[in-house]
Amino acid sequence: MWRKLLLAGIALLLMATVAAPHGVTAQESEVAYAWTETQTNIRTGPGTRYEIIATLEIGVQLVIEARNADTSWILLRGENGLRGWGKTRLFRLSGNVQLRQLPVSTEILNRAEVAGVTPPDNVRPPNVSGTAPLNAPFVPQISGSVRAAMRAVVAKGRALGNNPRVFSKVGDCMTDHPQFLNPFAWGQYDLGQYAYLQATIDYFNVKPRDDVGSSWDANSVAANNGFNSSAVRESQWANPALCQPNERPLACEYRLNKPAVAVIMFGIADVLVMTPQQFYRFMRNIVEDSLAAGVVPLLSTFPENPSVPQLSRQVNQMVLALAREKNVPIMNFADAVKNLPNGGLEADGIHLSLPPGLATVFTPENLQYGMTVRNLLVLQALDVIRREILN
Amino acid sequence: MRRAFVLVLCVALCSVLWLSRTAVPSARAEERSACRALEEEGIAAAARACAAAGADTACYGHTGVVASSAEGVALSNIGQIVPLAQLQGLTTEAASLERGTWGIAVLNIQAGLPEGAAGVRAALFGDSMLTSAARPEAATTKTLPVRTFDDLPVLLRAGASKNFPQIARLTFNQEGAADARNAQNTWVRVRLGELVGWASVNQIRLDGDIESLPIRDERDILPDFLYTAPMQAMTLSNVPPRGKPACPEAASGLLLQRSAEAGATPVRLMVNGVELSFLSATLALRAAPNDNLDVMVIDGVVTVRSFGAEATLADGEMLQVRIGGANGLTALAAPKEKTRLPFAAVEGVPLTLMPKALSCLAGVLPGDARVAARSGPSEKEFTSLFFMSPAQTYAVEGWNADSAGGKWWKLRNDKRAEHWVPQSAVRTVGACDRLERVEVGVQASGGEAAGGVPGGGGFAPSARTIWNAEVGPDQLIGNCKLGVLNYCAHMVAIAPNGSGLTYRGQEIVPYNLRRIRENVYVYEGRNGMNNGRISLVLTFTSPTTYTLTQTLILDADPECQHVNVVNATLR
Repeated sequence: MWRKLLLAGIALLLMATVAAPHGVTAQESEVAYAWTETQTNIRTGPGTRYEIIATLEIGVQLVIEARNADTSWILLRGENGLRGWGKTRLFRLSGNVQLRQLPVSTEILNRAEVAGVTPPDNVRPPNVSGTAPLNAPFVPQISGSVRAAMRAVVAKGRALGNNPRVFSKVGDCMTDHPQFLNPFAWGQYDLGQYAYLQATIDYFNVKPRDDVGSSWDANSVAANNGFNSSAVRESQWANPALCQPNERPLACEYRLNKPAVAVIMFGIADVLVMTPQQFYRFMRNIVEDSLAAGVVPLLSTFPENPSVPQLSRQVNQMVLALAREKNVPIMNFADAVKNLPNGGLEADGIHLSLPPGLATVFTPENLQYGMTVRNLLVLQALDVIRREILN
Repeated sequence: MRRAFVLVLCVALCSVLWLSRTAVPSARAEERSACRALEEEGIAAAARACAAAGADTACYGHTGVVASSAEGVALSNIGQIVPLAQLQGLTTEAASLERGTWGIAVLNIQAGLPEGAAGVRAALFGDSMLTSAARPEAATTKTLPVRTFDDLPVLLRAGASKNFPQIARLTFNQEGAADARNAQNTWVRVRLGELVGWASVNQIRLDGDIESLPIRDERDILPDFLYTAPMQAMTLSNVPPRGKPACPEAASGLLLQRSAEAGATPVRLMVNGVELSFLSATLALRAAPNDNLDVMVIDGVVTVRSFGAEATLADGEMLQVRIGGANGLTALAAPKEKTRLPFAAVEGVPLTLMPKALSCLAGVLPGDARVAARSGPSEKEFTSLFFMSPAQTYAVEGWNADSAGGKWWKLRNDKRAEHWVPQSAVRTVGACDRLERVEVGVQASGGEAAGGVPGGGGFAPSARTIWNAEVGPDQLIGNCKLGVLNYCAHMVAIAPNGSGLTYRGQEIVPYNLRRIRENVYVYEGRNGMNNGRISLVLTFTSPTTYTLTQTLILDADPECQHVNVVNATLR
């Protein structure tokens, strides 16, 4: 009997191996994804008579496990234990999905078993206005609750081997830029009236790892031209030369550099390609991933995208609300640049404006440009974090 | 009986209604056809009659021309030619089907260029009036030297008072020439090279007797001393027709064309006080009194200058200059921002009267049915990309036909994506009948068959690949309430999906692109954010490059198309 079972198992393994098409990796051929195309209910069974487990927003990625007999419903699984049935036509399916070739399932989930599941995708964003002022200081103010919460995170990070004198950069083209913080590593700066910040430049001027000079000029795998708040948590965008298979860029960066702090800013590109609800969910995931890795997330509001200023304000309000909820430090970069020429942006409305020389020379003339103001604000924010949390 | 009567009445009423509904378009179609015939006849007649006209002459081209002259010269017969120097003005009549008139006068303007140099061919047509504003005596007007004498800034203004706007700032000890004064002797008109403005006599040193200068209107800043050849300076007037024009197919205005070799001297003209300079160009002008002078460039490049400001227009662009003053026709301001050339600006303009054959231009008018440009010459086989905008004129580079024999125009597009429109649905001007048949696509193969190759063969990847994509500027087409969308450069993941592709860019939800022919893939439908409709046309141009044209119509701004061209390279 056991011999028969063993032979059957070997035969199944061989069939599976032969069935995989040549030139396509196991990861691509085997994982079938579905994305919600609208607000979608996930239910305990394949039909509207079954109970709703969760209501997902548009754009949530799930893995397809199976289908019902006529393919009108698919069985899905998401993050944090979410599992249930969704109506097929409400999803966009990945290219490799052939519904008829999926296994057929008649499974009805036990409502009691999934009662405690609250997927992160289902978190309701705060109800915020797109017209109200942001009302937040430019440089983070560390309240008692933020100090306590972040010191606990730093302690956790130390236990995980994080280096308190290392920070990581997480962001898009405003972060992955040679003028952003890099010149501090090369001695190419003039602090002007902000000479007191020299101590912070020195503090973080240590090697995160052998082949990297310091956090100031490290090339972060979590900061890339064209990244958005979703991309930084998707393994397909990770640098394959540095990251492990299926590793997300954010996790890869934290594993490589073991930072105590992450300088995080997304938004100006995000507001055109995702809903505020999606943005909030992704930012929340980034913050939670950081906290879990013992990394203090330094959040930031972003300059308003001139295409959609009101939407930008609304999304910035969400970032502020997220920082308050999670007790993490936040800098209000949006308000710091809003009165600069062209809102601190280049004529293209998407990149930070650059002074004629270095954006790390803090003269009154240079501080009329978005990149210079960001360099100063981040340096001031890291100074506050160094004094109030890391030390 | 009563029921039968009601039934008959209903049938009769319906018949009347149906007949009236079909009769109106039919009458318009007949009228349009008659207008088109009048336009063609007028152009052909003028071309024949004025073929022998020499430099610096005006010629009676087609019925409906009146000339005015101090020397009693008259233009009364088709083909009659008079020297420009003897002409004060010309008037041409609007198109009239009843009288069979559409006034056309042909002018050959040398504009002071040496004999043998390429001059300007002009056609005054429709409801237009052109008067000479050239003042030959301006070239020899007495001037007095002026210069600034202290460190205080001296402003040249657009008129003889501090209430006029500044057009230039003079530096210390700068020299100029005064050529006129105001009646109170408090301001003088100063030439600064080719620039003219008014300066207060308190701020400059005038070398000579101010009263020896002639008095000029205190708003006059026209550099007329530069435009002294016959008809080198002129004033155009087109009174907009009341109500609907009789023949929109035979328009009104002034058409100019010059074709010169590279390196030749650009020609300079002044129309309504607006200076125009060009080497080789075709442009149309219209002047509505107390409104605007429209400068519309159909071909070539034209520099436009007024009130010390300059703008350069390329083909397919236009701008306006506000006009007014005592005659309602003189430039009052700097050129406005340039815009795209609406097709209405070239419809009915006698382009074929010009010696240089122009390329074919296509477009639609505001009242026309919407026309979708497609990725190939067939409604069934090719996806729609965008709707043609009446606010734009499209150059046509060739034609092909669909399976039913219907002719399609291929629109010129600097990018690699192809744009086709059905000939029957669009209007055209220019030498469209000279265009040649062009192939569809770089390597057209048609159909879905891709030999079972993952991704569809050609340059398309057969496994998942990551690309770096650069997004071009957002081109707005149509009536847009919202502004441009500023996208960032980004990464794109492309994976084979049967004979098509899965495309994942910045949006969270991927797109499934279907193969329409080798190297060309499309998606049409709702966008990933579900707040609009999107069309994506992706063309692989090599194994490591592709071009994608993205057209987005947001639900919140349904009459506006956002068109972005994305160029990507394999990471």
